Amino acid sequence: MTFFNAISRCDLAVCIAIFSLAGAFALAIYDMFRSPSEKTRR
Amino acid sequence: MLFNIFIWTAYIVLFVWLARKGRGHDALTSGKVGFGIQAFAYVATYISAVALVGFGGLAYVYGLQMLLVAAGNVWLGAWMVYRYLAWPTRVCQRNLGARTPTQLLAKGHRCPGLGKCLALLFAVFLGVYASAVIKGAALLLGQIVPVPVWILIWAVAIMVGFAVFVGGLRGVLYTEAMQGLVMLLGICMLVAAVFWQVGGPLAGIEQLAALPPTKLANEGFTALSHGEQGWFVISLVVVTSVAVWAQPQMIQRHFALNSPRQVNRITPLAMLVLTLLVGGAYFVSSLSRLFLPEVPSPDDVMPMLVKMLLPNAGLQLFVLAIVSASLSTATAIFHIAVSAVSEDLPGCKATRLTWFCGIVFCILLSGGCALIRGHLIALLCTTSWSIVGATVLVAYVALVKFGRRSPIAAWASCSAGFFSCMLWYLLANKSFAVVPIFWQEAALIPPFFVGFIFSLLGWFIGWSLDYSGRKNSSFRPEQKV
Repeated sequence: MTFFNAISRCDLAVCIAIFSLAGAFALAIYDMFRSPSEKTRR
Repeated sequence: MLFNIFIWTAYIVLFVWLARKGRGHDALTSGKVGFGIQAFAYVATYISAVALVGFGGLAYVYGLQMLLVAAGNVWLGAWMVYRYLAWPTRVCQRNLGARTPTQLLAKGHRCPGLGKCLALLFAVFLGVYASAVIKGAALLLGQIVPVPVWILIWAVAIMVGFAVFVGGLRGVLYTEAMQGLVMLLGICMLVAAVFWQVGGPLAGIEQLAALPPTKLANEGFTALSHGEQGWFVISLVVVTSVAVWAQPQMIQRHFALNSPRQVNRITPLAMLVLTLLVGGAYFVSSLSRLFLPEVPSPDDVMPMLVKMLLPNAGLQLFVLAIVSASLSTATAIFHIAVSAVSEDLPGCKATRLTWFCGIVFCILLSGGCALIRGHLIALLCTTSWSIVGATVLVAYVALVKFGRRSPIAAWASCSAGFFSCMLWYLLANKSFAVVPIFWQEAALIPPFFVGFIFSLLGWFIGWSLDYSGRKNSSFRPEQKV
């Protein structure tokens, strides 16, 4: 069972929802573990 | 049995201990609160039992398209709020010396009269809305505690009132954070159990895609429905993710912020918790269609799922999670309603006595409404979120984000938003229309959309008429007023 097999069964709207949730998750994890100096540079 | 008593006692002891954290602080100010507490408190206030159980049930009926609601909540309801509104709100609040969201709008737009009207609106609508939340918690508790529901309703209302009285804003934030953590644990447990049952998320999606379409999921369970059903899902996204910006209990969460740096730390954590909570709940509820029998009502999906998959300890923890979702929302709503009654309406700083009287009033209002079944109460409960959002959103964003201050525009915007949204419910909503609906297609437009459009129009008309307001509208959040 691959990721692409599963995701190809979903339509565009559901794909957008899944990827945006996954993106939020990844961004949150990345942001939480960034060093403070990187954060202040933003 | 012993374990059940232990877990519930521990929960109540922790709740009381955290509520007492606010002792010695002003009931309407929080003092310094850590970023983790604020992130969990924001999510716990945002997500009520309706979102977990009610919308979870809808995910069973509509399938994975409900993940659009979760994505909207995370990006529009958390990221966008913290990115664009949270810190400007805090700066405005500090510069104006506002202690409540009502005072923020009244002082910001220089119209005390509007503040009184908003205070009345918040006291009535949120006080009654709290009754629905309290009743939800009591009904759920009734499933595991052999006590009549009316006793549980009063017990929950008093517990919420206790947290608001003893803890004030600070105590409420701490208890909400604890409740957010319990919700997260409960949902994570359920997600793991469902994934184990269906063989993992990817296998679950494949099996779900193979199911035939139904009347509501008319394109299947892995696609956005067409027609009325798809429009319903999209409208849910907007109403739950955008109307939340202007809910006073959410605005008040920004009053506890310390610095922009703290906002940067809260944002990812709030997004993470929200993704796991709503994303997880809707995803597993969609997948539950693969093994659950046909359910009589969508509201039964989550309880059935939990009873089927989790052991007793898990069941207790999940009930705690749902009760926490209700309690956290109820305490936040109560705090706003009490501050409206005890400080915003009289127009002077609340004393310990007026604060207590406000709490007694809210307990009686919420507890009483929870026991009475009436059309008006149902109308107030259902419409609260949309009407408050449509009334306040434009004037609030114009003030904190764009620095626009105008009493005429604020009045025009708030009244246009309130009356158009209310009228739309009474004329075109299938559940509440008092006259026959002539234009069925128009009835599909959510009242929040109508209220928002009219509120925006009202703002621009008021702004164009308010020459002196435009001239003096040099307010910028960075400037000391």
